[in-house]
Amino acid sequence: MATPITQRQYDMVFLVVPEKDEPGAAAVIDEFRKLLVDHGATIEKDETMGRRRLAYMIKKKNEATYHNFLFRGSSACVAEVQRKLRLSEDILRYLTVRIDEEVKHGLKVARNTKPRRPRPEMSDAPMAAPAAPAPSAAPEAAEGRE
Amino acid sequence: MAAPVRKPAKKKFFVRRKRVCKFTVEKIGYIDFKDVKTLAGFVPERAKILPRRISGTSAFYQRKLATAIKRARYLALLPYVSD
Repeated sequence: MATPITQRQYDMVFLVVPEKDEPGAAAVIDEFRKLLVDHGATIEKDETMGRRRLAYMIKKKNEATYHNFLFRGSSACVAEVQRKLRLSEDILRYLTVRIDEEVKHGLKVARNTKPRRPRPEMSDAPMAAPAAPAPSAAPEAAEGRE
Repeated sequence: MAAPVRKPAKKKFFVRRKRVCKFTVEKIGYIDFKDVKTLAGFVPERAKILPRRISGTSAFYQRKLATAIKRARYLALLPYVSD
């Protein structure tokens, strides 16, 4: 019981219905911000991506206000907030993704991989010019053929 | 006479240069599904995900890219289909 609750990093985006004007949408967002904080989440990024055109229609709507929360919290917190999002009629759609492991693994891979393309002769220059091989290859090929 | 004419033509076919994986070069650890600008570069008009044989993306990043695009599609940031 007394074990510390594991806090994971989540990236949450939701779409507020276009009928809400700016203050209306802000109120909806505030409500969920409060909900997150009340459930013990610490918000790391809180960003309104603004009103955007949807790439396709959702519930006959063509626009929505996007909002993004990046936060740390427990799974229970996420479950509860998602439940509220689902019930709310002001929310068109939402997506929560746990990103801590993905980011960690990704950064590790990024650190340990080098771009492979540079040709053998150029390989001692550490990945300086990715565009270089193509032009250099062309004249060589031409010489070889002649 | 015919040979010199043919040579450049042949070369032209070869000039379709192999591209380098953008994400590997820039050492991007995580492809964000909210970053429509980046993702849109890998989604041509038909809204299909660009195959890595064309984009040159590495296998690892192609997998990440595909999930990111699919997430973006769910949020209507990118289309599933477009005509």
